[in-house]
Amino acid sequence: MDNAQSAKHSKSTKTSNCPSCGRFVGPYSVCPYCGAHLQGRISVRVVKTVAILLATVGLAFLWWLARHTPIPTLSITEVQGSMNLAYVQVAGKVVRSLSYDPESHYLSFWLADETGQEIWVAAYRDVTQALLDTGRVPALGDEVSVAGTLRIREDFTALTLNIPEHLIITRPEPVEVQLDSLTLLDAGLRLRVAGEVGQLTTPYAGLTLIAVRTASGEITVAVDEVLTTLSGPLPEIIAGQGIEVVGAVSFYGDRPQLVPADVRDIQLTERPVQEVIPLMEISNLSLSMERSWVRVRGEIVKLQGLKGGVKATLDDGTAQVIVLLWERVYAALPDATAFDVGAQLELEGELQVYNGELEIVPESATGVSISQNAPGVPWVEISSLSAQDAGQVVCLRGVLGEPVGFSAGIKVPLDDGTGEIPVLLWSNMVAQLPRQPVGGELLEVTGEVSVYRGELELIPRSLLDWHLAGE
Amino acid sequence: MLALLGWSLLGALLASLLAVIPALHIYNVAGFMLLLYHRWFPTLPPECVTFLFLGMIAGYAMVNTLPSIFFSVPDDSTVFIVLPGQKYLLQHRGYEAVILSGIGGLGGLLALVALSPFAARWLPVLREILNPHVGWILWTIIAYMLLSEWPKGSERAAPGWRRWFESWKSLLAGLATFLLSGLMGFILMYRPLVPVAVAFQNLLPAFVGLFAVPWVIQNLLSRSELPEQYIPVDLDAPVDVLLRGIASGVMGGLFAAFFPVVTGGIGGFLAGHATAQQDERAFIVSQGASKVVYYVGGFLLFFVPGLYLTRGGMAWMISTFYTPYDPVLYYWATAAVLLAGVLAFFLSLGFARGIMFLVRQLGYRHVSWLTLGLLGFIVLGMTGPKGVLVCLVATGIGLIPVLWGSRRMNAMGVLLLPIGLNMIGAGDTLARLLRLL
Repeated sequence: MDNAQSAKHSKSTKTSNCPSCGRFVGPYSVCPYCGAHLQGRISVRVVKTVAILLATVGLAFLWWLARHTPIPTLSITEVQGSMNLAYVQVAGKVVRSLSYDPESHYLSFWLADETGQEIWVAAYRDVTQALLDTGRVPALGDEVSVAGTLRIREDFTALTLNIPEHLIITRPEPVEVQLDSLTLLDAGLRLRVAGEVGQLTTPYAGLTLIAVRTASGEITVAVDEVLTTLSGPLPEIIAGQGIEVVGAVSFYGDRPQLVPADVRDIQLTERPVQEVIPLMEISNLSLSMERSWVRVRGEIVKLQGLKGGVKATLDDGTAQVIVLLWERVYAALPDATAFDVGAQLELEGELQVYNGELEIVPESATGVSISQNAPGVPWVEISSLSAQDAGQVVCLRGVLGEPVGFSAGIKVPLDDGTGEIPVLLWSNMVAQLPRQPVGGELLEVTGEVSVYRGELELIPRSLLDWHLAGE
Repeated sequence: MLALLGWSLLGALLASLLAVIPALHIYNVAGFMLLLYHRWFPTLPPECVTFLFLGMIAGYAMVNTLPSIFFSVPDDSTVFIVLPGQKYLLQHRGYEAVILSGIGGLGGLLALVALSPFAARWLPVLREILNPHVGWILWTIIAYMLLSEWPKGSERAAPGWRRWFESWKSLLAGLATFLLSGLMGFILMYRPLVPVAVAFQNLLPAFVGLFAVPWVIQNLLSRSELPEQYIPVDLDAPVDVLLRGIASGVMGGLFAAFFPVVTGGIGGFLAGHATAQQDERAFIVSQGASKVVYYVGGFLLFFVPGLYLTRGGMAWMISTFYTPYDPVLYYWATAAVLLAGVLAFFLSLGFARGIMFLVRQLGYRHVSWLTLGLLGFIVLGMTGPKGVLVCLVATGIGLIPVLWGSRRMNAMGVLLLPIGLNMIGAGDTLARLLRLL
C-alpha cells in the first residue's frame, strides 16, 4: 500500500466513506456496495443490543435501586429552595387545628418539628378521601411523620402528601393534670378532663365552646365545624351534665382550650362526675388561685343588690370573701329569702378576681347549700330610723308616693304614718319589676338603710325585697 | 426599573454564550447560579435575579437553536428542529436555518408583547375554565401523539410477519419508548434518585439521556462531517411562509406554555398538525417561535397580574424566593424579554459563524466527543453517580427511536405518563403495583 492509499484508508476509517470504493456507508461495518469489511466500526447491532439492555435491564435495576433507596428525612430548618419538588419525609407535631374543605376535599394542617419551624402539609381529593376512609386524619397534638413533595415558595414551605400510606400518625396517650397549672408550654399536650358541663356558647356559626368545670378549674372545649365535618355531629349537651373529654391543649390568647381529635372523644354521662372539692378556709384563698374551683363555709354578714344579681359578704371566722350570685342563680335558690344576713351556708364556685378583690361565683343554685336560714329582719317604723342605722337591713310597711326618676333608677317615697323615707330602686331592678310602682299603693319592703347627702333612704337588695300589696 | 432591564440584557448575553455549549440547559445553569446567589450574594435584591433569569431564558430560547442544528443536540423543546435542521446543514444551509428559527423566535416575542394588554384579563379566566379538564386533555394529547404515527416500511421484506414487522417496528419502538420512559418517569417521581439538595434537577439526567446523548451517539456512529456552510445574503422564504410559521409556532408555544406538562416540542407538533404545515421553512420558523413562546411565555405567566402561574423550571426556581406582587412588573418583564430576545437574535447570528469556524477546525467527531464528555460532566456534577446511572438507562431508551426510526417525542412519556396517570387518580395504583409505595 503506497502512502497515498494509506492516507486515503486512514481518512476513510475516520469518516463515513468506504475505504475501498469511497462511497458513503454511514455506520455500516460492511460496505453495502463493494462488501469491504470496515475496520474500527461499532456494529449497529451491538449498539441496538446495548440500547435494549440499558432500556430494560437498566430500568429494572433502577426500579430495584429506587425501591431500596430510603426517603430522605429532613428537619424543617434544613429545607431550602433547591429542594423544591424533592420527595422527603419530615416528622413533628400538629400545632394548629386542621382546615378542611368538604367540596374540594382539600385537607391541610401545620406541622412543627423540634426546631420550632413549621411546615404546611396538604392533601388533595383522592388522598384526603383515602385518609378519611381509613380514619387516619391527624389532629392537634398528634405526632406525625409524613413524606411528600416539597413545594417551596417565597413566603412559605409546603409538603404535598401524594400517598396516604406516607402519613403516619402517633396519637400520644392523654394525661391528667391540674388545669390551673397549664401554661403556654403545654400547647399540644393531650389531656383527659372529667367534670361537669358548664356554659355552652356559640360565638359564631361553626364553633361551639363547651365550658367544663373540674375540681382543678374550668377549661373550654372548642369544637369547630372542621371537626364535626370530619368526625360527625356533636351529641346534645346540657349544662350540668357529666362530661369526659380527651383533647389537645391550644391557646386562645392566653386562655387554654381543649381541642378533641374526634367528636367521639367527648363522652357524656347523665349525672355530673361527683368530685369532692376540699373545703377551704377563706383566709387560704389567694389571687394566685384565680379561675380555680373552691368550696367554703361561713355566715353572710352583708348582702347588697347590684346590677344583675346580689353580692354577699361571707365570713368564716378566718376572713371574709365576696360571694356573687347572678340573678339566675339567686332566683333558682329553693328559698332565696333565706339567703340573707345571718344565714349559715356552704357553697362552691369559681374564684374570680374583680378590681383586685376575690369573689366566689357559684355556677348554679346547686352549688349553694344553706344550713341555717337568715334570722327574720326586724319590722321598724320610719320615725325610729336615724343616720346611725346606716347599713342595717330593716323591713318597712307603708303607702307609696309618686315615683321620681333619676339617672340610675327611680326614687319612690314611702309613708308609714310615722314618717316618710325614699325607697331607691336601681334601674336594673326597675326593669325587672312585674309592674311599675304607682302612688297610693301599699308596699312591704326590706332594704338596707343608707344615708345620701344627709338624708336617709332605703335600698332593696333584690326583687325579693319588694312586695306590693295584692301580688 | 431601568436597572432591571440592564440585568435582563446581562442575562441574555450570558445565556447566549452558554446556549452555544451543546446540551447545557439553561435550567441547570440557573439552578447552579441560584445556589451561588443564596450563598454568596444574599443581599442582591430578588428582582434583579429575577430579571437576570428573564434575560437568560429569552437569550437561551433564541440561541439554543445553534447546538440543535450544528451539533444535533436537542433538548425536549428543540427535538423537532434537529431533522430539518440537519437537512439544511447537509445542504450547506445551516446558517439559513439559524436565521429562520431566529425569525420565528422574534415573531414569538412580538406575539407575547401583543398579548400583554389582554393577558391579565383573559388568562385567569382561561385557567378557571381549563382547570377541571386538564386530565382528559392531557390524555387526548398522549393518544394523538401515539396514534398519529403511521407504519413505515420499504415493503421489501418477505410477505407475512416479516413484512408486517418491518412496517410496524417503528410504531412498536415508539410505543416501547413511551412506556419505558414513562415507567422511568414514574420511578423518578415517586422515588427520586438524585441527592435531595438538588431535587429540583431530579429529571435532568433523564432528559439528558433521553434527548441529548442519543443524538451525540448517532453523530459518532454515523461519522458524518459538517459540510461547508454558506452565509446567504437573502432568505429563501417569502413573507407568507414566515407568517404561517410564526402563527403556527405561537399557537403551539402558547398552548405548551399555559398547559402543564406539555413542552414546546409537543406544542409545536400539535400546532404544526393543526395548521397542516408541510413547508420545511415554515416548520423551522414555527419551531423557533414555539420554543421561544414556550420558554419565555411560560415564565412570563409568573408575572401576569391575577394569575401568577408557575410554569417551567425557571419560574419554579424563582418562586422559591420571589413573588412579583406589583402588576407593573409584568409589563417591565415583557419589555425585558423583548430587549433580551432581540439582543440574543443578533448574537446567535454571530455565534453561528463562530461555530462553523470551530467545527471546521476541530472536526465534527471531536466536537461530538467533547459534547458527550460535557454531558457526563454536567450529569455527574449536578446529580452524582446515581444521576449518571439514570442518564445511562435514559440513553438506552432514548436510542430506541433513533435506532428504529420512530418519533423522539415519545420519550416525553417520562413526564406525560406519570403526570397523566396522577391526574386521573391512577398514579397510586400503578405505584402500588410497582411497589414504590
